[in-house]
Amino acid sequence: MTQDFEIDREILVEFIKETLEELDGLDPQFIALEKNPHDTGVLNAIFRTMHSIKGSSSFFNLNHIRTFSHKLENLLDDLRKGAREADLEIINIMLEGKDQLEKMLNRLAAGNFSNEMEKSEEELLFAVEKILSQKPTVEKRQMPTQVFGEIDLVIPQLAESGLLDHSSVSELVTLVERLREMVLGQGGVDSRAPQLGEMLVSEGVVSSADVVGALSKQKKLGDILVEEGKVDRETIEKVGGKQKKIKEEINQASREKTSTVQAQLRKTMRIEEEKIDGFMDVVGELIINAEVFNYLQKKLEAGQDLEKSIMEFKNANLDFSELIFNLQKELAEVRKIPLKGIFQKLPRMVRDLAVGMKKKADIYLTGEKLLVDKSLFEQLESPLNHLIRNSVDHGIESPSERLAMGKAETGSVKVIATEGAGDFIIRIIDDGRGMNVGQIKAKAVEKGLISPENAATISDKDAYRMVFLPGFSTAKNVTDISGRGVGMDVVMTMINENKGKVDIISSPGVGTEIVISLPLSSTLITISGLVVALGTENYIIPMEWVRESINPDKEQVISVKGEGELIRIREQLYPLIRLYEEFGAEPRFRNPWDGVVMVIEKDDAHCCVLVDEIIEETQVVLKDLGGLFRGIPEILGGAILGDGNVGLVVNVEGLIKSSGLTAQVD
Amino acid sequence: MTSQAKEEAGSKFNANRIEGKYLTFTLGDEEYGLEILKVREIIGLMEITSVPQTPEFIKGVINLRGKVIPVIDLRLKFGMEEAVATEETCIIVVDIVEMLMGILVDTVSEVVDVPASNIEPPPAFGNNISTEFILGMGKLHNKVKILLDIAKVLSQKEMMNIAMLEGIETDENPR
Repeated sequence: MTQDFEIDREILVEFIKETLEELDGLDPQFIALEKNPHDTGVLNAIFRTMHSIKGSSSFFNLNHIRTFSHKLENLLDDLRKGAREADLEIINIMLEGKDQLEKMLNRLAAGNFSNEMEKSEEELLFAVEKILSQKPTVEKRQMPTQVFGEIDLVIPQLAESGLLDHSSVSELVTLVERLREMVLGQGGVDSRAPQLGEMLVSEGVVSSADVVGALSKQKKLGDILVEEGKVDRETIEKVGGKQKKIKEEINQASREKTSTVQAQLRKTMRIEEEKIDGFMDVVGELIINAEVFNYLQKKLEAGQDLEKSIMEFKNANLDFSELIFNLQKELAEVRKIPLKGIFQKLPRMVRDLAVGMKKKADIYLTGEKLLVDKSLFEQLESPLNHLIRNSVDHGIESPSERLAMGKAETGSVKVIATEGAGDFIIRIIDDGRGMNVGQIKAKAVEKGLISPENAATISDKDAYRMVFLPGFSTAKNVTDISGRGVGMDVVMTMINENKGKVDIISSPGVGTEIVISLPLSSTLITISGLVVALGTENYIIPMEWVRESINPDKEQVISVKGEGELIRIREQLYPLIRLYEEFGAEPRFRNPWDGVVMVIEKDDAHCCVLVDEIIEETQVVLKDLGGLFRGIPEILGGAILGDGNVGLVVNVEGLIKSSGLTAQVD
Repeated sequence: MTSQAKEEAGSKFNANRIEGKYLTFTLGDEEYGLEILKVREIIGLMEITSVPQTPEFIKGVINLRGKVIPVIDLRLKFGMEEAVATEETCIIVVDIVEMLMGILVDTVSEVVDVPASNIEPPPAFGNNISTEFILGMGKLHNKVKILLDIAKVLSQKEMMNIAMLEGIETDENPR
């Protein structure tokens, strides 16, 4: 018995997860359906999903989900058969139905195994039933009748022009008449007898609220029995108490069941079998490798053939490093999931927003197949949602406004994700009204974020960026979607935590482009770098930033008004950053000609960094230092060095920024 | 304690809730207690890599079997003089919410059981420590041990306020 229970629980968890995933995929399909109500392919796909949810839920005895999905399935079936048109009302109900199903599943996942529906769910079910109870004859006939009405107008014209005499035309008319009979003549009756409440509502005698109210007044069985004198109240209460106890026991049991379900829901992750096989291969090789070390140990203990043993040891060690490196790389791959998971929710969001604000907007997504690390994926979702909300809410104008400006009635929001050299870049482009620099500056001054003098000198690029400051919002009206200046703050936090950067390009009337780039090095695990010494500490400088290192002569160092220093290398001038000054460390060498200068060249960056000495080149695993140190721009993370101590990995970009060299780009 | 008295005290301070086993350690002449459930392990002093741009009481980071964890000098955190490391200097690794953290102390003494009857509410006056870090005062063998709420001492908020300042300013304040 318990065995069965175990299996059941696992399958249930699987069912919840799968169904939630399937539901996630429904949003874009509903939106496609709204755009093209006759797309049978989409309709069939949605129908299939709903059908399988119904099937599985009845397998698990989840009656509430079964009833609910069954009703939605009926409605979809009508659409599929063409008995009903997928109009705005139906699409809205379907979308809401999908949300409610999600809610029910999440309730299950949270451990509530009750088969009861919540009020909002019952109401929606009722709304679906109401639509189903409206005979397709009423709904549907209108459209064909209209068409046939128009045909009726055309036929006399044909007769007048004498075209009816043509045999093919008259045949066409008879065919049309037959079609009319087929379409209008059949008595399409709903196979299901409607319930009294539904009929009363559809006849307009009472409102649905009345019915719900009346239903809630229905007396309990016990009360009725007492009234009829079949049993006394005391017995009822006694039995009732027993019943209550049983219910509690059931609840208790389901609560116990839950915690496991929850735990399982949180922990699992889907991985392709092939990837696991890859691991097995590497692990197999590692075991062989371990054997080699065992053999070498024995040999070394025996003390024979030392030279040869050292060679063998070197080789084994090399193999070992490579295997571990591969294992790491593959693990990093496993952690990656496609962006699709985030992207597929966006069309629905944009649609709901646009409908809610009486705007028209389409979303175009590029790069949904791109794989990102799971942690980045989780962090990306809410900032991205906020940015897109902002684009629709503040960017895209109303249709009339757009038409007046000579733009297409429907606004567009493009989301493009790409992976560049070492960076993950996501761009959000809208063709809305753009950002108003003057307004932003005025607002920033008003909110005390900058001084009026600063506002005058600040560049447009920096001004745009101020919208990300906490508490900033230029929206005239605060809507329930955006405008409270909270969301953008979330965006900035995410970017800071990932050591990324954001750029805003905007032109009034044309649109806004927000470019977020996040270094992949913070999500990738290994970094190749140079270990450098500075005083008593060792730091790691990522290789990708270092072009070369030199021991400059005294003549190569040029001091500028005692404020800055430049180093001349082959007729090029590089500003000098003294690492010990930035890090507040006590160095062994203060003069550039005594220490080592690393030439940094990457993208816009162009400078020299002074350290005491370069120790070695190394491959390290980047480790997050945790929340405590996340705000330090000069440090990317930590890494464990060969001697077992922790070395800090320098974030060169952050270092340049905080040393004040940003303006030096030539 | 009568149930009435318990309720009275419970409004602010509840000795019953904090009774249990404590790991005691010293900082100078003062003796402190740390809830044993929060203690992961005790390790000897090892090489600590200092992290630039952090307040002085954040000693740096160490390698705890492949994990990089921060180490806090509790003396400096409580505004005492920095001590010269001795044979007895230890790092107590504590588990706070989702992270491990090391705290540097002078000596680790023992694990003691502190019953509720021996616990007094924190004093209204604090010496160097803000009293919100104190769970209560444990009286044992004629000595008083300060029972610390270590999670509060090392709360992210407490630390981040200081550590984050630099980052936010350079990133968001336009020059």
